[in-house]
Amino acid sequence: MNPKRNQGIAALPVVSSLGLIFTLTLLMLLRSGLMNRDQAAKTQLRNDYQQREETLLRAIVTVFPQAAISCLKNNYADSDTYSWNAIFAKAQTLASTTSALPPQLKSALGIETARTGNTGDSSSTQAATWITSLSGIAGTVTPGSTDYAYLFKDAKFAGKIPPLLSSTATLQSADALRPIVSTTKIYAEQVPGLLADITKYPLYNYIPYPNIRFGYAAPGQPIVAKQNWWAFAVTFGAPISGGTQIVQPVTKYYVLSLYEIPSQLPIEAATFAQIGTYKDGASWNSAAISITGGIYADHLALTNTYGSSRISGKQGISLAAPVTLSGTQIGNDFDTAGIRESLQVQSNTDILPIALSANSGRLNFQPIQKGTAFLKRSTDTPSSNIWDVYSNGGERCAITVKATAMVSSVDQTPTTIRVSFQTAAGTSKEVVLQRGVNWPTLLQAGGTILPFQTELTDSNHSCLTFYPTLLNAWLLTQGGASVSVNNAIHFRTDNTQSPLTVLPSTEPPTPDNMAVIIRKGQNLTTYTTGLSIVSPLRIYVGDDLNVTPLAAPPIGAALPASSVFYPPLSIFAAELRVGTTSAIRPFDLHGQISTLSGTNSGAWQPLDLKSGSDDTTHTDSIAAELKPLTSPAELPPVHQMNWLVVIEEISRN
Amino acid sequence: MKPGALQPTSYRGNTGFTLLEMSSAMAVLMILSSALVAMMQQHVTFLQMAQQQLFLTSEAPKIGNLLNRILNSADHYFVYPTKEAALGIGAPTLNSGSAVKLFFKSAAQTTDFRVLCIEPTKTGSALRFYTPASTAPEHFWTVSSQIHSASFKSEEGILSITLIGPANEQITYYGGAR
Repeated sequence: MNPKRNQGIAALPVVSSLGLIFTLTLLMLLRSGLMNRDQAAKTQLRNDYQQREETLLRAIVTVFPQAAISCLKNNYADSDTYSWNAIFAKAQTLASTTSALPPQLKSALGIETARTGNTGDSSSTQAATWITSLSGIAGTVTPGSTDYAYLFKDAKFAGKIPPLLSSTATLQSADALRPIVSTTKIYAEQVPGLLADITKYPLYNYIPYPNIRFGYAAPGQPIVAKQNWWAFAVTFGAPISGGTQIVQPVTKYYVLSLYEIPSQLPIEAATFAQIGTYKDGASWNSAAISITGGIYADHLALTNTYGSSRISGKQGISLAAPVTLSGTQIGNDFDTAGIRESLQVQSNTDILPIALSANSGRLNFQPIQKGTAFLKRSTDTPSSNIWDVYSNGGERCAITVKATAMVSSVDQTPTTIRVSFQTAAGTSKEVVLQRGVNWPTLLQAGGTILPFQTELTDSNHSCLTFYPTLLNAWLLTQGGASVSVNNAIHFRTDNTQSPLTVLPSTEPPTPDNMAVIIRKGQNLTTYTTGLSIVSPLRIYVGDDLNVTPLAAPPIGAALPASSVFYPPLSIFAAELRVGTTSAIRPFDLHGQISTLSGTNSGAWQPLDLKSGSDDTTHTDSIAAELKPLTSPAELPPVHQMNWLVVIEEISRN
Repeated sequence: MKPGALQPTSYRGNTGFTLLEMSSAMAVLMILSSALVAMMQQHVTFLQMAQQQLFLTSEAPKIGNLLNRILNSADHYFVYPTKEAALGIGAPTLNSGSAVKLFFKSAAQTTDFRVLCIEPTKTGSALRFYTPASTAPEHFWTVSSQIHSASFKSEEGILSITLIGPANEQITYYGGAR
């Protein structure tokens, strides 16, 4: 062996070993680095999916109500424009869930040609498969109704879902394809959470307010409402991408709820409401005016709480001075970043007694506000359009009273009225009352038993007088159903038959138009299902109205046996006046007050109530005890409606 | 062949190298050794640096992954000065605290809470996730035990979780209420 070569080789293992050590340690570092980068990429991708999911859910609550309204307007007909598939597709477009950056933003940033490192982008075809029903059918949902009860028996859902609703088989099938909101969807089973007897109150029961930050009511506090709901699954994350598993896909199950909440707060307005002052700037008398519960308005300006415990708005709330609500001192800066969190920390809850729906996450609060269209009715028979019947108070009236002839164009005292009502058989019947023929005056024989008469106010305003306490007996003599069925009455004029004597309707009505007076309505206890009076005309409250309580509250109404219960009464009119004489009558209101004014109207002062004698608000004669509904039994037949749309996840434990 | 004719070769092969050769070889070896030592030192330094950054490069992404999952599922949160305050009925704080109570809401109108807190250990601190006794038998699992300290803070609705690593590295995660 060559000694020189042996000695030369001796250095090679050292160099090789060290080189190998260097290489291996560097490779380990590289591998570790790659693993960490992979971990970070997965985290980022999961974050990306989470944000896409959040924006998608928020988009759904935005898109959904309009689709539900479109479905109602089209009488639940099948359509691709408001199907669940269309709702999800529109929400995905709105939320840009298919791409991390929309093309417009890329263009604005000047990175149209840059390669994206975001592997979460998907095609719209792929995105369409993300949302499915519980049985896995894309573009559909599983309605929360009895026909789908078998799906909710799965351990993933049992005990975690709201009460099921019942409806016709046809509507339940359609509900899986498009959102059905219907008065035929009713509670099917008395389960915990339904506090009133469902056999008596199947449509709107007394249910806990959802656990959300928007404080129309406090979470868990019972409200009169119905919860329509649909369940669906959302799956984000592709299991395989380019042969490699990117992120394990996770399927989450959600409940989309639409709470139909009849207007029930002491003060509600889908417009700008000024609480605490009259139009002339005078403040409400805090000794005479009290508010229990909450206040809602799209936009709210408040000078004092008058005892209210909760304030909610849609666009903005302005406080003239710091107020105390439910024990929490709140200033005008309550919605400022940091202040809200500070208030939450102080009260040790995320639920504040003052809240804006716009800041409350996955929800959409939407008053169904039709403005003065709420008061109108085109024909004696109810509209065939489900949306009109649902949203217009006038269309929901079982009785219509139409003045078709007057004394003259300058004297709008009716001489002929046509009264349509429901019979016990469910059909419609019309009776024509004509002066000199079959409509005797109060001074003539038989005139005192008729529920409709005429009179002039002290200010010479021609009126049709309505006597609520005489209506039931008269209906029965005419072959009509009792006032438990004929519980809502609509007054209007019609100049088609006598255009020379009947002035055309104006909006708002002028003093020359016929008005309606309600008289002798102290005892409305025969109205076991309540009474509603709707008219696009001016309505005078002639004397005390609904001041006689029932002997006991209705059974099963979730009311304490000792509570004093008055039959529910609602009056919707173009203008409401108190008294018909020159005397200034004190006005004492108990219940709720709301307005039909829309978003673009001027400020609404809820207690600017005028007497029948002049056009002045006599602020010193107004007293009010405003309080919320506390039972479905207190809900009058005609009421305004709010929709609260919420998405909540079904807990996966 | 004369015996002497082969002697120089045989002598050289058996007796070693010339001084010049030895010097050259030793010089090369010294250069090589120096280079190897320098490389080794550099490599060790590099490994030490990598080791020092292990918290940020290896542990932090894992913690971030877990926190990401936890915070994304929560509806809202409150920061508490101590774990006991968070698990009990203590008052939340807007200042820095060592525990954050996370609230999870569900369609069944339930609200569950869990507590993420920092607790001292023999070697430093651990970030732990507690299930309160009111929901189930109180138990916890450890998010990370390789941290020196941590703090939670709520600033204008943004939750910040600041972790200090074993070499005083600092990393802050941010999250918010839904």
